[in-house]
Amino acid sequence: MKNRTFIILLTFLFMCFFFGVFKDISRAQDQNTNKRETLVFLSWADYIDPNLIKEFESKHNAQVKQVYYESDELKDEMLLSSDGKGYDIVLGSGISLIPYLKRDWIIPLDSKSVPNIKQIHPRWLNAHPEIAGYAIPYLWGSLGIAYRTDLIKRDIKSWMGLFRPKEDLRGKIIMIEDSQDVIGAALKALGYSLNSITPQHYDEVERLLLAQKPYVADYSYVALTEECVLVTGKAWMAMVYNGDALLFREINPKISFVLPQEGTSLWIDYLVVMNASRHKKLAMNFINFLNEPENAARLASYSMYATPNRAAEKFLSKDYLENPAIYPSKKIIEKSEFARKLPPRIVKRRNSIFSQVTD
Amino acid sequence: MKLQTKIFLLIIPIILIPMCLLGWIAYGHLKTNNETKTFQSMSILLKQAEKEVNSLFRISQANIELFSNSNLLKTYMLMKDEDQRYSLGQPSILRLFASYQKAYPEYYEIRIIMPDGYEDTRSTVGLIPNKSEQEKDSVFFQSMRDAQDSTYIQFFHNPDNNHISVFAGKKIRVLDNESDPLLSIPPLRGYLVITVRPEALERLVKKARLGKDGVIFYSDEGGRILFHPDQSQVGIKLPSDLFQALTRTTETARMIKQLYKGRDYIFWGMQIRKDLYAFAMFPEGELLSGSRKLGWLVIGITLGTISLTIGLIFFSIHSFILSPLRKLDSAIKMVGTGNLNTDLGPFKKDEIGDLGSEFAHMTEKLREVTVSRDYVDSIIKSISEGLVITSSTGEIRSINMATCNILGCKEHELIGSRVQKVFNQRISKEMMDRIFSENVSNIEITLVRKDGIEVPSLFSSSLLKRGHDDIEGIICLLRDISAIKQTEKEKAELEAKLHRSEKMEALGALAGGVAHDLNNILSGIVSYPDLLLMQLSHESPMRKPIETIQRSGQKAAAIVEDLLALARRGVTTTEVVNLNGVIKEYLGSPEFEKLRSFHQNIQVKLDLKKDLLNIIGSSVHLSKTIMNLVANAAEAMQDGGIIHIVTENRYVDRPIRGYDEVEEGEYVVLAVSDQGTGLSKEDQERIFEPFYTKKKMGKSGTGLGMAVVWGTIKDHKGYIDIESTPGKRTSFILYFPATRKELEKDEIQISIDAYKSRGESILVVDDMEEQREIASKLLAELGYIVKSVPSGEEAVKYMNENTMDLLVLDMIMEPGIDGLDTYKRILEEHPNQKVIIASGFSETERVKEAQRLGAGKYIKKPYTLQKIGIAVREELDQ
Repeated sequence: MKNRTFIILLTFLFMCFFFGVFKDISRAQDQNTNKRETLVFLSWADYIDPNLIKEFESKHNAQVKQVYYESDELKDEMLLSSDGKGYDIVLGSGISLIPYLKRDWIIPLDSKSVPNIKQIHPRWLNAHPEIAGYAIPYLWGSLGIAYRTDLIKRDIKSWMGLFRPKEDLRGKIIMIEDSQDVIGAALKALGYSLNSITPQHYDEVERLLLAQKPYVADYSYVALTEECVLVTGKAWMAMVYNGDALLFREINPKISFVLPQEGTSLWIDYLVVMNASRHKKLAMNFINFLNEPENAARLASYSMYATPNRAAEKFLSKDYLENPAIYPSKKIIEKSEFARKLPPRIVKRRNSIFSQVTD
Repeated sequence: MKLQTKIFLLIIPIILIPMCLLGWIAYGHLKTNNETKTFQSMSILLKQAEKEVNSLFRISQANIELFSNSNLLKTYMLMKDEDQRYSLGQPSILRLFASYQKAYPEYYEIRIIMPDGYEDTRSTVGLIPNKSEQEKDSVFFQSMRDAQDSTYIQFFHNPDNNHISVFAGKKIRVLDNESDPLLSIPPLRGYLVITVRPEALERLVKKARLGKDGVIFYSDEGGRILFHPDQSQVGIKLPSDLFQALTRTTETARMIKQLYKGRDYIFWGMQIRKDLYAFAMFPEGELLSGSRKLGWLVIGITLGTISLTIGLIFFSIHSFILSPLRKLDSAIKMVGTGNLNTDLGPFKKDEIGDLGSEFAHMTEKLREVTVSRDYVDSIIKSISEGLVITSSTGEIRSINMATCNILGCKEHELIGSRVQKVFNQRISKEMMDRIFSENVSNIEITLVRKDGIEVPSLFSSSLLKRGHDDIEGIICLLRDISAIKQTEKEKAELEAKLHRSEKMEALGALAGGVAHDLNNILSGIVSYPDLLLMQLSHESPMRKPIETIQRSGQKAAAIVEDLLALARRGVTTTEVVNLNGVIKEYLGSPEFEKLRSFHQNIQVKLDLKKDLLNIIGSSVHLSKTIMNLVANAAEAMQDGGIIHIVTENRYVDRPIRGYDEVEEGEYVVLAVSDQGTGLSKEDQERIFEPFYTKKKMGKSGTGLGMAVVWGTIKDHKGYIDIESTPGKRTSFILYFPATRKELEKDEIQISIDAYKSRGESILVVDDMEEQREIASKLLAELGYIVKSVPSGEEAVKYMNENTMDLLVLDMIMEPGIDGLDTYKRILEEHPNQKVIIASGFSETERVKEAQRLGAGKYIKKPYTLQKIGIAVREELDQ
């Protein structure tokens, strides 16, 4: 008797518990269906047409919250401090995304999850084989030198114009705060491969950068504003990405952009969906939306970079497609390289040099 | 032995001995104090050295604990894969370390070392080359690895930059939640190492001040010097005996004196940590030299104090005792020689001062009862009258300054000369004999100065006798009385002038009184012929006799005017006149022609100033004055001659004392000169008196001519002067005050129609019946409605009941109210009443007051038809 009473009591308690849990679950589901989903998108500032975001938001009843970073390395620091959590979609250069895969921060993406993947040129999909199948190309570009033609009365054609500057440029140069770009360009200036693995090359790079240091006013990303030092004339020369340079020229036509004759660093930015995301489906939809050919063309023309989306090209003008600052000449392309994965000790050496230089 | 020497010998030992004793005690005290201070400084510095080390270690430990807790660092330490670590994590870690180094620049190296001793990450401040990436063999790494505590801090030599630095290491143990079992001990992932530049210690040893050559320094437990102000000493080992002696555990043994590098030092050691010592070393010689310096300082101060004290005592003795005594001594000596004029000056209020004051008082008393030669001399010199003292023979022995001034001589010119010679010229021989035989008082004499000027003086003398009879000399007193004499003379002259003036005034008053009455009487004779002639035809046989009556009346009126002029009551001196014009007019007049007919051998020579200034006056009277002067001049030259008439402008800048005293001012001068016989003094005095003449009365004029001249001049506020040379010539020079006003334009003859009545009514007010009649008839003739009353009261009464357009008002009416009062009363009833004033007297103050109240023109009696007609018409037309 006692046992029966105990069983009844236990069954009652179990049912109470079960119904309680069920009620909680059903309430959560209700909330999910009613609530607008929010995508947290980690990206460069001013790199996406805000109208596209708005269109996506209304189409999917979602909200896209953008978080900005100033360099690939700062983006890594942000992700490291949260261990890859807190963001749904991350935009970054191909080379910077390789360790993310190892840390299991990103998830695979295929034509099922992102149907518009078919619009993308396979060349760009496989530019960094380590992350192929995990990252969708966004835009691609190159690195060059922007300078004030009214203040510098000579043609700048070589990286040496930046790394071994004339005396008048003392304290007038701005360099990007990114070891990948600075060291890569220095290697190019010295006539070596962007991805050199020869330690002696790095000794030379170290000397070159330390000698250049007194001419550098700051190691930072040059903001795209009218108050930026290159526009005001406080700085005469800067290391910039090609799209940024074109936007600078729109503010001040006296700013000229050159892709150095030694060749340059080519990069391609990718979109990845984070493993920790709670809105993976929506994130994939977002990536797919951006790769609608017309949308991809709008993305490109907004920030003046080249699109990897083949179908988008028909939405871009001929002038745009033939602009050598956006689509570098074959000659330059041939001399240029993408950053590749390097041996760890070489990376360590590069970090060490950059740390010394920016100290 | 002198008092000064005695005092010196007494005072020196009294001061010297205690001062030297005091100096010695002070030296001993200061020396001990100096040594104590040095030891205290060493002790303080060592304690500071310990404090700095402890602070450095404490802060380093706190910071390494803080840095090792960074999540980023922990994440990084968990990245086992080098590839991931360097590609993904290291840039962030390097940035983190760089941010620490910005806050703590002395943390010049921050590193991550792997458990196997491989240097994984290194961030430096500035460029510091890395000697090796492998640390497993380094002493620091081994010590850190083997230490029981997770934190290890120690001084080590850094091979990368050869500096002694603080190495702070921390073992990083992190649990990997994914791979490590829960609650297990976190495995060692690596070490975080901070290399700190001990700037505070370096600064302390460099800046610590310990005398001149004293220093503090640090060594390790082996006695090797770690920080020393002299960089070359770093790394050198202290001699083992010295090190051991200094590092014994007992406190007393820690301070020792020892020879080090050839010099004696006082050492003081202190163990700060197990393996760290701090030392202070101070050269013993410096300590002794400090004491020696103190010794010299004390000796210097002692000697200085002794000198100052002795000096002060001697100065006091000298100024309070010796100096007054010497002053008194020299005064006593002077009095001894008979000089009582010793000025001792003020004495201080002490015993010696009292003595000096008593002595001064004594000499003062002596001086009072003794008459000195100087005293007598000063009396003679201070007398304001001349004093001459002679010998019995008359030789001048002494004179005073007043004598020199009176005689105009210097003292040396007179001393020794004979008094007879000085006075003889002016004092008779009899008087001189009298002077030498008896006393003489107040004799008036005239002395002659050296420059020839005569000085009237009062002379007195008395005999200077020795005993009863023996005449030793004469004392003469001289008093200059020239000022008194001058004053007397001026007084006499003034009295004479006053007398003359009073006489003239009296005569004038008399003449004026007569003239006033005559004037009224004459009005009928002058005015009626006008009326009669107007009514007579031109052919009437009565016409000529009436015209003769009229002319005679006018002549008589002229004489009356002369008399009035004399009384100075009939002159209107408001007209602007130019004397040249008056002279020329007179010379062209029938009067002058008449004069010439009497004196045919007379010539008139004119010398008239071209731009002669104008004067204020009466041209009629001036013309008469000229006429009289010319007549007088002609009379003076019965045998003919030239009358010289001169005019000129003259400015008198100081009074001229002539017949009159001419005051300062700007004048027009008229001079009339003849070539007659001249005037005697008496004649000059009386020439202006009425009827005074040397000629036969009635022959040449009224006898009032020159009196009128005098009266006119006085009326014009002018002055007269007479220059006369008997037998040759006489000049009358008249001074008239000049004016800058311009001449008025000449009156124009106006037709009778211009001043005829337009039907107005007139009230004539006059106390004289004849006057009332004349006025009434003249005005009626002009067509006016005329009414007349005999007094002011009647006029007021009439006007209270009636209205008249105009009043012709006499000014002086007797008895009863005069013209002004009448006018005032009528104004009360008729505020705008028109009035003209008619009077026999000249324009008085009362006439002017009536005009100020609103009365119209003033016409002088006797008046003509035209004159009264125009005055009435003008007033009515206003």
